[in-house]
Amino acid sequence: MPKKKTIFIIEDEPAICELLTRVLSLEGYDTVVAHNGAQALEMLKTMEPPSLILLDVVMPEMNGTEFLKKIQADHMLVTIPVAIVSAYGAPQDTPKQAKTFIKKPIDIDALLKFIKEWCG
Amino acid sequence: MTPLLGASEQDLRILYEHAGIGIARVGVDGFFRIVNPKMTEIFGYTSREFEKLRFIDLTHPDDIERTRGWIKAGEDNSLTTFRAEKKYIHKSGKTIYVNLVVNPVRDAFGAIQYFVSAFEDITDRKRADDLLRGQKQILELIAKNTPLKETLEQVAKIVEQIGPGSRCSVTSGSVSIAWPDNRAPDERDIELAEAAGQLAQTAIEKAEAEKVITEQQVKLVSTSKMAALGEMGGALAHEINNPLTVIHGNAVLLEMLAARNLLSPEDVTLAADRIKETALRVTKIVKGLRAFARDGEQDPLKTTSVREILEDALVLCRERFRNHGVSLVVEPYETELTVDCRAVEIGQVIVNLLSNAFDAVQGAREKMVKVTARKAGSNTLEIAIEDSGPGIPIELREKIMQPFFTTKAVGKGTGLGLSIASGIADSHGGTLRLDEQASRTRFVLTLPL
Repeated sequence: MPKKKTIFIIEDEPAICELLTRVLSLEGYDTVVAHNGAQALEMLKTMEPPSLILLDVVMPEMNGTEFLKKIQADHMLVTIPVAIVSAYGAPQDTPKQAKTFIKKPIDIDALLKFIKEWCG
Repeated sequence: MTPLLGASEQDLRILYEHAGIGIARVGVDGFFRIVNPKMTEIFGYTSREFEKLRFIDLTHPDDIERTRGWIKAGEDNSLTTFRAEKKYIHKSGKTIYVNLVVNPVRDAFGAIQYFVSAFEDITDRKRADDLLRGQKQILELIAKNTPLKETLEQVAKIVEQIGPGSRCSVTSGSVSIAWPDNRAPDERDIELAEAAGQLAQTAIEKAEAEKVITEQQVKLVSTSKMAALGEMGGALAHEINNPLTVIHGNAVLLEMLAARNLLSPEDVTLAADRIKETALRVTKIVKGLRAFARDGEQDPLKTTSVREILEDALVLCRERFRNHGVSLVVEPYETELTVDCRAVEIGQVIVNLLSNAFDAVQGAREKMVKVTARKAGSNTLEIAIEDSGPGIPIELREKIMQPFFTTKAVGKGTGLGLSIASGIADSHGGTLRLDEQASRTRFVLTLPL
């Protein structure tokens, strides 16, 4: 049995984390959840690099934009594809690492399609 | 009168005939005996007519009583020299004002033989004084924003006082004055009418200007609300789109489970619960928003839970605070507290204070806003909003509650927030003040319980 792909969900809204976790596991993905950028960075130090990061923008402590800047500086993390998820418009000047922008409310089908594209 | 040495009878006659005041010799019986030419000028009667007139016949009805007293004193010989300001009636029927000096002239035994009376016509001066007083009174009314109708009525009243017997009506379109016995207005009457016209004009212009100002204020209040809504708008999109994701996503999840024949009753219950609680959250946000945008001034006082007021206000602000890294701390409070109030208005006050606090902490190292609610004493509710901003300079503290005072950039603040908030507190029998004792900026809203 091939190893499941891991999606890293960085989102401060618990109900959204729960929802994404359930939907993605139904689709055969493993998920890991962090509630803000700082916590995510901390977790990335010890965990195996995920296949994809779903990154909320507006979060307490460290927001998505700051988090993205941090991982740019890390040669291990800079290779992980990121999907930016936000209720606001797409952030400007996003690095190449950000592969797409998903607007909230999230269209689950579109999200799954994107994940399949990048993770198989 | 002591004639100058060498003054002839002719000289004295000149004085008498050319004096600028009326001089008369009046008998003890009150009849005029001799009058100088000025007397005929002041009263309008010829000297022949004067012979048949008594002092009291010319006296204005208002002064009859007083005059009878003097006559009686003359009869019992006790009258001494006196001065008085007195009203008379001119032959034409007009009232004239006179400064009167009466000297009794006695015989060798001390009995009064006749009176020498001097009449100074002060009608013009008196009228000018009255007019001036009237104008001042009207201008004061105008300055105090007295309703226009009331002011115009007062103008008419003053005209009638100054022009006795006249009937005056003043409307916003015209001044009309009817003179007694339909006589034609003289120069003074016209002057009076013109003054009344000018006063009415001033009152009308001021009232119109006030109307414009009031309209602009109403517009500004609504603009300041819309500005606050605009600031919240972006945050609200987030606040609503997150729950929408949850609602939509749970529906999709149910479909996915059903499509795979994996749907269990537990799945349905969980998803339904999520959808229900999340929909409720959206409802709350919308309610808070509606409450904020509404004009609650006409609402009756209603017993409302303090928790509900605070939550409705906080739901509108939380997101904006979070987005800008401002921590919003709500100290635990007695959740059972209720207060009689117009909840919409109190909510607006709190949102306004939170919004000010939010602005105040921008640029501060520590960004914190703290909300407390407590019972202060047995019958007062105290809601306080404290911020970690740089504080309000002492010299500005007196001004912050004044309308249109703002430290914000042009177009950023209307300067109405605190003045409106303070008005709302007043209308509830409460207060809104800056806590001078606190080390940080702390606004305290009190409401009677």
